[in-house]
Amino acid sequence: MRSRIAAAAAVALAALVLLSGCFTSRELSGIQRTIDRQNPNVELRRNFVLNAGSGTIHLLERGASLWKSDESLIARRYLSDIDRIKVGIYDVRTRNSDHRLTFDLPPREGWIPAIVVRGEGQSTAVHYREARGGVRDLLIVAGDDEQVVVVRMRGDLGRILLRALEDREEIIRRSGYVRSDRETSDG
Amino acid sequence: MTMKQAFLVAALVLAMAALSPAQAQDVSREAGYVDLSSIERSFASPPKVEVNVRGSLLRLVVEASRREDPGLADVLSRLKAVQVRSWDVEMSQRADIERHAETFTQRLSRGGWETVVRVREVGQNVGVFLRESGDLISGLTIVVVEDGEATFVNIVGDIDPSEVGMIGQRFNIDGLTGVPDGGRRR
Repeated sequence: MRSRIAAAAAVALAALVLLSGCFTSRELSGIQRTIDRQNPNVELRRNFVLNAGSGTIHLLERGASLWKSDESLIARRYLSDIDRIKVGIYDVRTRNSDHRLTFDLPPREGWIPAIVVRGEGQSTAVHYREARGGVRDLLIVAGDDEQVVVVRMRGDLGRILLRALEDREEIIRRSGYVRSDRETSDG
Repeated sequence: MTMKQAFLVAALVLAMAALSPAQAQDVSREAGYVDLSSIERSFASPPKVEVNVRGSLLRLVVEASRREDPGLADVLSRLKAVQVRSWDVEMSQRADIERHAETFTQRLSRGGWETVVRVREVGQNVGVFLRESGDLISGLTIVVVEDGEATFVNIVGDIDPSEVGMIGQRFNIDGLTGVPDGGRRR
């Protein structure tokens, strides 16, 4: 009995240690501070943060393998190409109504701004970083007057994208998209 | 040479091989490259749209395009970088923006860029400039200032001006559709 309690406690402690880093991220906090600095009339409040490293992703992959379905197979294929993923969702609080949220991440440590679109009350920036001859790091910051979402993903992103294109037809079919009669007749 | 020395030499060679691709991708050294930061400084605000596709990302776009449009993939495979800056322009800013654009295009001409097309009419000011290195085209720069929008595009690589519209569609660059090619075709 005592050994079972001790084993359960050890597992719980290990899980706590493993998962405790899943809901914090120094990097995302740094990005949040950068946005705060660039928008003095705006305050970002953390709503949700997820920080999943290779261990957690491998755990998810193993978990998906227990679920026998086409969806889990697809999920495992994509998870196998991801090394790390960080997601931060922040609520926007404005100190006055006359503001336009902007965020410009200065190029640092090899980040290249691939696409940046700034509109009325909303902005999206996609930065990437190369390594080993491919796109290995992706940083997406998207926000509007209500919320800012930050996604940082590391892995074989090229393979993920190409795989997504291959699976596009399957994804369309599963989403219930119905081709119009014109598309059907055009073949 | 001892085993340890051989191992160190092999490690050094591998490290240099790993670094060299990064150096080869320094597209700013290409003859057809234009630093668009000079035009950015002319505007009071950051661009509405900014695109910088090069290196691995460009190769990714090529592969992604190959399935849907092999012809477009062939065009993109000859490129080394695509840069775009686009701003919304209010009527009150139009004269200033045209002046900055003129300064920018004059700098291109002084830098060896050939004017392929120049259109100045009410509501639209378009310039298409080509850079050649020997017999090859090494870059294309397009400046479009029209009612409501100013767009600056630099394409580094072997590009035919008649293919610009195709690239504009791929990268969703509205200002590139309908850009005249000045009769220059491959």
